[in-house]
Amino acid sequence: MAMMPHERSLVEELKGKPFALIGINTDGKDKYEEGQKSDKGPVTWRSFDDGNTQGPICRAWNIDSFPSIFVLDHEGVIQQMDCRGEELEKAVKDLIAKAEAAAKK
Amino acid sequence: MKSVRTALLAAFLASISVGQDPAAGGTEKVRALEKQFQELQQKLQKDFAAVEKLPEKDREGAGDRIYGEFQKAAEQIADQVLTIATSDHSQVGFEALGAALSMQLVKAQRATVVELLTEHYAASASIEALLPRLRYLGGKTVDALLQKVVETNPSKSAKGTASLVQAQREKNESKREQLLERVAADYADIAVGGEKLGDIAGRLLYAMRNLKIGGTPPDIVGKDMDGVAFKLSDYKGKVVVLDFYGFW
Repeated sequence: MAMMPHERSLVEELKGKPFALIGINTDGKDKYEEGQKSDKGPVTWRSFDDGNTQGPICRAWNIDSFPSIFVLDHEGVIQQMDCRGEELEKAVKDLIAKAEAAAKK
Repeated sequence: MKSVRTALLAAFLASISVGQDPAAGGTEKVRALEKQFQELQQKLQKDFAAVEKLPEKDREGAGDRIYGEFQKAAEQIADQVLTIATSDHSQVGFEALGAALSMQLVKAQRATVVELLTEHYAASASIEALLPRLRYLGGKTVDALLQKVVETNPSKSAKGTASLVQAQREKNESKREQLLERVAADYADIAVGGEKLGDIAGRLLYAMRNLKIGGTPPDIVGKDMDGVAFKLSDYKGKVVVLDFYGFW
């Protein structure tokens, strides 16, 4: 999972901001626990347990490739999909700025 | 180590080439070839695990060599399966094609599978089970096979499944929407893999229309990895990144 180190640092950096990284895990509990102990892990954000790649959440969202990323603004509207690295970070920070501005009104 | 591995592989390949006589076809032969392929895959996993124990600088070369040997052996097994399918156009040939689709095939072998399915089994009710496996195979010949199933197969459930796979393969969004709406209209109550086609098409349409930039997705209600219940809507007011992932 090449994204995990970047995700860990984003979670750390954005503590206290109106931001949440939420996973939908497709490993099932046992493989997840193994992964947490492996050198790819740990996952430091909350994940829904969808059981496997054909779980109810994956099917409802029509996910057929992994990882799949959706960025939602503070009102729950999808603003970006399938971005990574710098593109993801910029999208998130821009939306946080908008959320903070809206909260001040 | 290398000479032992080469000797084992040579013995393995020799054992495959016994019984290459196409006249000795039959369900048992297909099953035996399936078993050989499974054993080959297990051997591949064991060999890769052994590679992990090598010093780092040696791993890539060893891995490439092992995978190359696997591909050669896999191609030979698939060739034998296709020899059966080419000479038998009854149930045995169909089983051979099903077995081939679950193996590692090179391009020419995939083309043979599609050709034989189109020519001999498009109107056979049992083709339904193989249709989902065609979803990610490239080429107009697969599209032609699916269309032939829709047009000539007497089973409504085979037609419905073929129509769904056609919709899933369609890259043009508005055409895909139309095809999915037709599946939902014509095959609503046909059950495939425990779910009705109407429901499958319905959720694919929902995803297409709402799970895009500017769309508002439905709430997600579930449990976290510790079994604690929570919802996506608990995070309203925050910017959320959803990551569908696995350690695998």
